[in-house]
Amino acid sequence: MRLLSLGSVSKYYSSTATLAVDGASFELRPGEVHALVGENGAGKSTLAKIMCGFESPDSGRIELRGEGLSFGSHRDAERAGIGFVPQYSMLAPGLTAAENVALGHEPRMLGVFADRRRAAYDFSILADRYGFVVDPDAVVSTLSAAERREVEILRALSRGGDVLVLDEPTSILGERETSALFALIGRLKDAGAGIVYISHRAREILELADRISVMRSGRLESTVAASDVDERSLADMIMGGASIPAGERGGQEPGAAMLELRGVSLGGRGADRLDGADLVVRSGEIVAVIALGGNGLEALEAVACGEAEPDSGEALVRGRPVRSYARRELVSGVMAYIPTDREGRGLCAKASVALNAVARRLPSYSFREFAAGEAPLADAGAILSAFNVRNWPRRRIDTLSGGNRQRVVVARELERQASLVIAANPAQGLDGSSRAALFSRLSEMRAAGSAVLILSSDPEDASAVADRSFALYRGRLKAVGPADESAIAAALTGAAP
Amino acid sequence: MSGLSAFLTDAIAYLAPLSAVAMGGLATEYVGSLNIALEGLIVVGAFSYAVFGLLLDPVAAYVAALAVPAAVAYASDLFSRKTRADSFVVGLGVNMLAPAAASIVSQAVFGTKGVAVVPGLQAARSFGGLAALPLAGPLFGQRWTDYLAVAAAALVALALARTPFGTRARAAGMNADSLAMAGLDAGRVRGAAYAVSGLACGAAGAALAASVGAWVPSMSAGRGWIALVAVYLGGKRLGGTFAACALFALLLSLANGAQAVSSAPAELLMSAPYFLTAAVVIAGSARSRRRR
Amino acid sequence: MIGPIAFRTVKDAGGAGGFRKLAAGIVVAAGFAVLAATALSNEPVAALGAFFAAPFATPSSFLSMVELSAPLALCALGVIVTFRAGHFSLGGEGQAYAGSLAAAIVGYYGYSSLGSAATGAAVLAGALAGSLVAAVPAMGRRFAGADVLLTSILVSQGAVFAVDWAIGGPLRDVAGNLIAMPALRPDVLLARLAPPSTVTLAPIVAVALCLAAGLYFERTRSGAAHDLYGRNPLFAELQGFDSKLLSWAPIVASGTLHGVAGALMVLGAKGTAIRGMSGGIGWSAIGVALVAGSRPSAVPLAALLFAWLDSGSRQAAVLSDLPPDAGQAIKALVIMLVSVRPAWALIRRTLRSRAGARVGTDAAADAAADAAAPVSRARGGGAGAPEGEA
Repeated sequence: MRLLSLGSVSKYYSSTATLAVDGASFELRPGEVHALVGENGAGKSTLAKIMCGFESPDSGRIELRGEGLSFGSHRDAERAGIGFVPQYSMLAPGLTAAENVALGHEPRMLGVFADRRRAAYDFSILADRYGFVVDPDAVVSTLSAAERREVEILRALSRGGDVLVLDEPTSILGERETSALFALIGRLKDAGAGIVYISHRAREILELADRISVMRSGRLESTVAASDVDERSLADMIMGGASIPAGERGGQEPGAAMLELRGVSLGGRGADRLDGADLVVRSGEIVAVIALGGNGLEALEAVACGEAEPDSGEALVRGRPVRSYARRELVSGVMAYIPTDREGRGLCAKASVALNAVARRLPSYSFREFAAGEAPLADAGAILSAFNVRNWPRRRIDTLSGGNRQRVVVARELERQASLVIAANPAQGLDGSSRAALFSRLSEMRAAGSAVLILSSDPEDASAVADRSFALYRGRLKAVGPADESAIAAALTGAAP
Repeated sequence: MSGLSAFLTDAIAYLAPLSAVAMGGLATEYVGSLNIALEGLIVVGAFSYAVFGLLLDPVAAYVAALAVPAAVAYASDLFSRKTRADSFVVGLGVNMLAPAAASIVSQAVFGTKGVAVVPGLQAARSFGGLAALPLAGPLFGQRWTDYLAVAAAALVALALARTPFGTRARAAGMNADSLAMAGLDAGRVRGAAYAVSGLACGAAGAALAASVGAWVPSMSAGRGWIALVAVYLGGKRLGGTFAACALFALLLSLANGAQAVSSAPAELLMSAPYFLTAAVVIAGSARSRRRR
Repeated sequence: MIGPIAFRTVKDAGGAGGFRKLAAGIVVAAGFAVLAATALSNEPVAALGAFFAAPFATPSSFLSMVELSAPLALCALGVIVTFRAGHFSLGGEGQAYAGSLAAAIVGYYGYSSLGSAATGAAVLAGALAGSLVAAVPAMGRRFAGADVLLTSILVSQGAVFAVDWAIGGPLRDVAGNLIAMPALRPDVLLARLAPPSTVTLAPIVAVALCLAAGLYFERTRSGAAHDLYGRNPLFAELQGFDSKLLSWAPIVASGTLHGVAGALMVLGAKGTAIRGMSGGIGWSAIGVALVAGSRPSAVPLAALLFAWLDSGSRQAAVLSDLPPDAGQAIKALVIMLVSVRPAWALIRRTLRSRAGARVGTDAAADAAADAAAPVSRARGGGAGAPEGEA
């Protein structure tokens, strides 16, 4: 018996000339959790969007309970009983939780006015039923990332469907929310619903899933029963076989302090604040700070790159206070900075790939060289080839995929042998092999004497190369062993060690 | 009528159309789109009122004054959405086109490019008898079209604050994906907001034309721009926008009134509110920047 | 906002975008002119003849049209300078008008002490006045982060009233019928190069400045930094460009250009400061910049197109019964139509949207550009965790 099935579905994006999904067939049974795994850009998200009516396939068919369907929009899929929890927030940040869930189905007074109290009431009933605790009248932008995710889940459940598609739902959830979600999924499953679960986390998948499908470059390669795989083989499936080299831990002792935070506190940025952080990053070492959202990583990044001055304490680069985006350090090549906010700070969207790649070198060209344009173009080619970005210097950078854009940023920043590297979520959007290239470049720079600070929300970034690791929880830093993932996980979520 | 009450009557007469336009500007601001064409839409409304007033009767003229700018605003938004033209640029085009087109049609209908008086189109002061009341007098001494402009402003404000349309408009402006997740078309919501915007400008245009019973080129006299500034000055909120409108109405009628009583040159007085507002905008941004 | 600008420094896009728009603008304008003549005139042939032929009929009428285009080109260049820095200044009207007033004052009252050097002084005064009017929004931007769009409109509108007062009040030539300042001495005015046409040195200056600006934007590092700042100021700052300078200097530079344009109007065809002489030049200039695809090298021709619409419709109004405002209406329609994305992109998009349902609306096209990326980034959000991609 099949609940939802997709028969040889394909989707081609002409703008990027990519075949995102290539003849994939997929089926979901009632009462099962079906995990969808694969590396970045394998087509998981596109397949999920097809199931939910956001994209229509170029070919192939979709059947729900044996009936052929075609979705004109997500509303059609919703009516058919398919709920979707997107990976990125699709909430209106200025509306309340209840207003977001009611959007498009607003209860009305006198047939004209929006009945807010009714919407809030409906919301709390719904939240109660599924065991979530969210204030219906809280404005979404004031909620924590986990609460926002809960609102998204409630929205998907509010239309009472029996198929739920979850795209990396736990990426920003803490332990408590994760276990609540798992309990919820268990109950939905018992009630006969089918759940499509997209994730990168081997342990979660083994805990939840009944069957696992692996996607690779748009194809759905195989479907196996979860009982037939162990954690290690599943990890290989997720990573697509690429493993991250441990990196050569330089034998040398760390040298002089390059970046130093002394009792730095920074507040007033919503939930994200830093509370008396002490941190030293020395030449020849890689330090990783790992945190889940809302625990102070943004504040730490702002202080380290000089965007924000600490409310109290000092942030020093080579013994001098860092301020105004560490402009002097960035220009002189003392510092390299890979920002988390790739689109806003890392790139200039409407400019060419080449200009984005050589932007930092702009002042070094003579008038003549720049006017002729040959030297910048050649440099761009050289910079990009180090990260295996194909040679598209003339294309506008916003026509590249997210992963390729990230590679351009990484290539530009790590091109020079900077004495201090601040890498915030440097591996976002990168696939296995680019990740490996990134971390091997970082350990190469360490060997040559760079001080490297990795700020990340992914514990694997710490275990990849870091000499020392810290967990950041509620604005406080706590040292943890570099390769001890369970200790990091415990520190990140505030669980007892 | 005392000097003060004359001044207040003047200020309220200025406020009525201005608040309607500002609410119209706020409607598109809610969906995240700056309607730069407010000024042009007022012209369309005023001109429609005059033309249909000549051809038909005042009631039909009023309906046309609402409908034509709404249609123009909706069409311009549809055009920019369907062709992916920049809505800012299309709005600038509307601002240039409206007076030019009005002048061409005016030549054909009224036989003049200039002021065209239409008999019977000047709106009556419905409660004129109560205008002599102390304090409350200025509230009653207005023309019916001014009351309708205030009603239009109130209706738009109500729609934005209290109806699903308002919620959806805000959602569209914050994150269009939230509408997609709700199965709604963000483009349609935006189109509706533009139509509402045009309608409000039409009510203002009709009020302007009805106050003199004629079509006067350039009778909008920068009200669209002032309304836009009021929207921003009011922090893109309903209450703030209305308060900013009231401030402008007071300032501009003060400048107007000062011409009558003092020997200060009219135009120099008229420039003061603009410079003053620019200073307020700059000071306000400086304050919010420090707070950050 | 005004069309994507190719970076010719790294030689992408082949560099024809601006001229493609210009060609489209000319075709659209001609089309509407025919349409206007047939619909609005009882003698369409005469109207069309006047519209198309009269401005080109004699060397003198053509050169006068060229002269008319020079201030417009300078204003459009100013618009490009601010818009490419990401500042949407709409204050050109007041800046140009103030430039005219200052030039007329210096040209008229300075003649007694400066002699014919008053011409240069008048141009300088115009430049200074335009810069001063622009300095308010510029400094508001630099030191308070105030929205240039709002402050520039406000200050410009205030300046228009103030200049109106000056021309109509204390400085008015009460002997004349026009509301205007007394006429400047002929030897202060720019020399007419080819009488009886009104052409002066102004068009040559305008073309030279446009070419220089083109070189700046497309061939220099500062120009590239200017463009990058205009698209993403934060990125520019992180790359070490002088973002403080770029936050105000382009606005003032634009004011200077508008002021010079105002001065050239006084020293050229008008001969003095006349009330209302700026006549919407600030708005037309935005249209010219748009038709030129924000490309300085295309500005002189785009300005000529607008000057043709002005003089063509004026001639047609004199020689036939075409309403004189037809030119203005055509300008507006040209502005709207050249802002449309190229037809082939439209067709492709229509096919794509017919082929599939879409997420969001405007966001959809961007989303499609990146299958792996999020549908679109939350504009207001972002306080949460940096979520990794699928």
